[in-house]
Amino acid sequence: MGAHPHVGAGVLRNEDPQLLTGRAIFVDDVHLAGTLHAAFLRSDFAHGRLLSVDTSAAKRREGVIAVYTAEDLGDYWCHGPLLVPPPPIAGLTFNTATLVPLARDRVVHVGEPIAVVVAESRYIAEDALEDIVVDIEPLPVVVGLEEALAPDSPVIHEALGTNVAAHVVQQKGDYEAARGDAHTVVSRKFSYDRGVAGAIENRGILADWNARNEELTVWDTTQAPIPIRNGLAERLGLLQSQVRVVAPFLGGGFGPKMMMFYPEELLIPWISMRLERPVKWIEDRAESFFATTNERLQLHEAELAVDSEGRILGVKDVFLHDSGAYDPYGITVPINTQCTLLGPYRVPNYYSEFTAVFTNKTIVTPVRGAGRQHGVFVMERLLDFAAKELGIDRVEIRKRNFLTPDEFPHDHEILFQDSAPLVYDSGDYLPAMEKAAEMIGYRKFLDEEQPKARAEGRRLGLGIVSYVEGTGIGPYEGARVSVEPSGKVQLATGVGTQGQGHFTTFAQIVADQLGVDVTDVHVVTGDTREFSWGTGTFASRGIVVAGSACHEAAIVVRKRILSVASEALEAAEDDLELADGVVRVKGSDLSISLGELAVRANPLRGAVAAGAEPGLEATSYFGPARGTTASGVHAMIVEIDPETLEVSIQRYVVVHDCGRLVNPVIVDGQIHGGVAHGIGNAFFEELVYDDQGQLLNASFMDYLLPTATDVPHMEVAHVETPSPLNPLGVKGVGEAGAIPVGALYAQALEDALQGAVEIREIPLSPGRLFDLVQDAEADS
Amino acid sequence: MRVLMPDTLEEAYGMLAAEPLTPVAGGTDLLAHWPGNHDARKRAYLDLSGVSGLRFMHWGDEALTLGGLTTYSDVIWDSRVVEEFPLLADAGGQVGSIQIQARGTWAGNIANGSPAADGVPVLMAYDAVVVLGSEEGDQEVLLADFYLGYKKMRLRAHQLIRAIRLPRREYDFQRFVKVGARNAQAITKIGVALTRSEERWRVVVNSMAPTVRRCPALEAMLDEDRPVSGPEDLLTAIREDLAPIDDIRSTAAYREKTLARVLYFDLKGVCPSFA
Repeated sequence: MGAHPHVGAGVLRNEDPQLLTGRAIFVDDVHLAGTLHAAFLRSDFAHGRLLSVDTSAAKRREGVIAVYTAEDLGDYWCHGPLLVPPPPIAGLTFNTATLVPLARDRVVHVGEPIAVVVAESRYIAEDALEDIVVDIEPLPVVVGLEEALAPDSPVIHEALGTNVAAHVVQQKGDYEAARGDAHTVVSRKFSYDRGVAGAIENRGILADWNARNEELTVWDTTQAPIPIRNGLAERLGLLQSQVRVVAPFLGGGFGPKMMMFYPEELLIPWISMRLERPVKWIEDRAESFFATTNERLQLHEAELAVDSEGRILGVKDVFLHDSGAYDPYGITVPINTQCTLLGPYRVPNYYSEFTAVFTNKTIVTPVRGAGRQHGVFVMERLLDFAAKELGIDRVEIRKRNFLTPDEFPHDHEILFQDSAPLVYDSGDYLPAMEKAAEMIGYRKFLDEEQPKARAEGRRLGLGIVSYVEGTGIGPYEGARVSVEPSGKVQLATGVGTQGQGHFTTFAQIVADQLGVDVTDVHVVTGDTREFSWGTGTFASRGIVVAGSACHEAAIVVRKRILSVASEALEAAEDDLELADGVVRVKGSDLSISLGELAVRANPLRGAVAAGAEPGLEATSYFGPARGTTASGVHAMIVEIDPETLEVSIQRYVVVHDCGRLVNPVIVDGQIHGGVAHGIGNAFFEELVYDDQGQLLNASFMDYLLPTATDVPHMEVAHVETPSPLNPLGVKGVGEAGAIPVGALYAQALEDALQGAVEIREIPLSPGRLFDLVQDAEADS
Repeated sequence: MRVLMPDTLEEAYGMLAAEPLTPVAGGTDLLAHWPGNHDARKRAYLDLSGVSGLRFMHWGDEALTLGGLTTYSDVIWDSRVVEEFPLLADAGGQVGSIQIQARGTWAGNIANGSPAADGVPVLMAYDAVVVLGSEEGDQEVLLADFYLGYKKMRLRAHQLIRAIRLPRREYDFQRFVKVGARNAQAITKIGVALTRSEERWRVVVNSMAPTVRRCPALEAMLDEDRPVSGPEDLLTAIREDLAPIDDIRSTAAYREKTLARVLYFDLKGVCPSFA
């Protein structure tokens, strides 16, 4: 089938009627008779010795069924798994400290669970939390990254004897030699902080142990139901087939809902098995700030060596990364920083060294972008400063350093987060930059609009930055496609779904092969009973890996359809065409519907030949050797209010390249959401900790997400450079929008302030801009 | 936790006289602070939502009176109020979200005593009078005299804010400016309500002192037409009138200087003494 009527079309989303009319099922919508409700007692201290927990009064409260502490867990108490072991990098130091289900001797961050109450209602459970008497002897708290490494710093994990979670050096070429040859070296310190994912739905778990069937069903807000099923089976001593994990619709994932094996995720099923009743826990927003992972600060000392024309000779970057209290996700976030810093540029020499440190704060794991923001910020800022120093236009310096299409595949000679070499598969960066510059009106703005505005006392500034995003990593995903007797198609995959539009994009891919309407492909995701193999939705990999598996399975089913139809219609397969739900002999009226073929393929009489299978069904898997590299350019024009230093975005332009587009409307939606996250990161959101590790703004009253009034209309255009690594030519897009926004804000605000300040930090705010301006005025 | 639910004002007064109770109107402040406020769970509450006759807007010849349960929305959607007391709508429309505006009450905003209250500056700039009711009868306090310190006010345990009275005057200048950390649903970092009636200025600022308060030094500068050639000329009076702090929402320096800029640029075309 040469033409693809569905892939590439902005068809409406199959899932929207359900979502928009409130009929979609989320974890908290699942109500089972006899459900008990859990609430967690959490540490008020960031670091302390847990001396005693007295639960006797709580147990006496009417309606309380059980109260558990670490002591009550017996053998079930153990450290959780190391979820992502670090890549095999020479000389790497990695110290692992993984989560515990309930704190036993020590608490290491505010919000770490200490006890869990199970009661007839959540109200009773919460009241009973106040009956528990906890004695904690506070210990000195580790908050700052540099302080964590000081010789006299308290040590969080005594067994490790250090607060170093990881130390990694990756290099390519010889940076010091390149530096010696440089015309100009730009050196700066940067700080880049991030925050919570802010998913509209918090986490939640409902576990139901059916003692008669000996089956455990767990509804879980996870992005990775299959790994959770596997892990729970192992921990609970059950067969994988005895455990069903369902991730229904999720109100946003963004990373923190990956295969985390959170304490609550391990405990609620265990409790359900002990009490032989369904048990539910739904996280509340205040809890979420402490109990759900987030992303935070990195401190960079970086330099860029360039020749007189602004061509990059080398980059050196040494940084500290905040791991929080545990490091179950290995070095995924800082290695993403390390690998993404290189961007779309030709960097012949690179030295990158990071130290990840433990602190007494909530655990850091990937949040949309997953450390890539930090790297992009450092590189883009260095290029801006180099351009300024050399008197080169900022668009021009980027153009001079872009990799060109003939340089792909491009090997950066370091390892990526998936342990595969960091090799860019394809890309074409110059056209995207030119298009973005044209769309934003780059020259006209600088030559006419900005000077005119300045003459009127208005402060307008423009930013334009580039980035890449490694997407679509392995190991693999699978899909099962089957044509039912109704002629409708069922498609099951193992990935979970959190709003990405899988019910539509996967359906589009299959519909193209089978010649059916997109609405006739019924997609099932996130239910381990429906599909048993795979990993999950994260790392911008859904469309690349699961989408390709859907494609492969659909091709096999297509062949079977043609084979069965060939027999039924007594025509050669080459003479058949699939369209509109029927197989037709080309140039004739002779046809048979897919439904009839499905019935024929599953006969009630006769025999299925040896080696053959019944039905029009196939399961296929797709595992890419390595990830595919998406890219983009963002540009914006901002205005700064001179009275308040509030910033308003006048224009926002995105030119993005995620290879072939399966559904441009959904891709644009992903970018819009990503940019909104990026705007929050750049200008509104900051987790403010005091010196005792207490989070001071743990509510949406003081932790500000951007609202609809802060997120501008976006003008989005696409460049489509297909990936050679998968049959669809697609690249991931889930995180892209969020990645360059901090770098973009910094450049645009600097421009608006006419170079009065140099911005080397994110997040910003009117107050922070005010301080920077004051400091600059005091210096001059 | 106990909640008492009176049907009439008399019943409510009786309950308040009998034991210490925390009155609840819209509950919007109570709810926002509930998760971390353990003491709040041990208190007893007086839920006023069922009390009849407390939600009204009454126009007299001399004054507009708002009831103790009158919400922001009641005012925002009333065209007569918008015309005669436009700052009430300006400020009310910037309180929280639509949902908060529908539940939150003006009296609750006063009684909660937050220095960042958005409803209070405009009421104060209109010389509002707080009518406190109890079994002993009504007592009236000028809102500008109502606050004694952070969360301290002239409201005794047995009293309720029964009504708020706003004198009807001709104003030739009225403005409310809120500087928050984002465009909507943000707690105020700097807020200022300005009115001028019969040559007399009212300058009321929130989020820059332990209470919302009038600024006598700034008012005197304006009343006496003292020359102001730039924002910095206002800083002395701002520092005299106010005492901003550094907190997670902003810094004292940002608050002082930004208030000076807001005042200067907003009044430049209005006050001839501003150069």
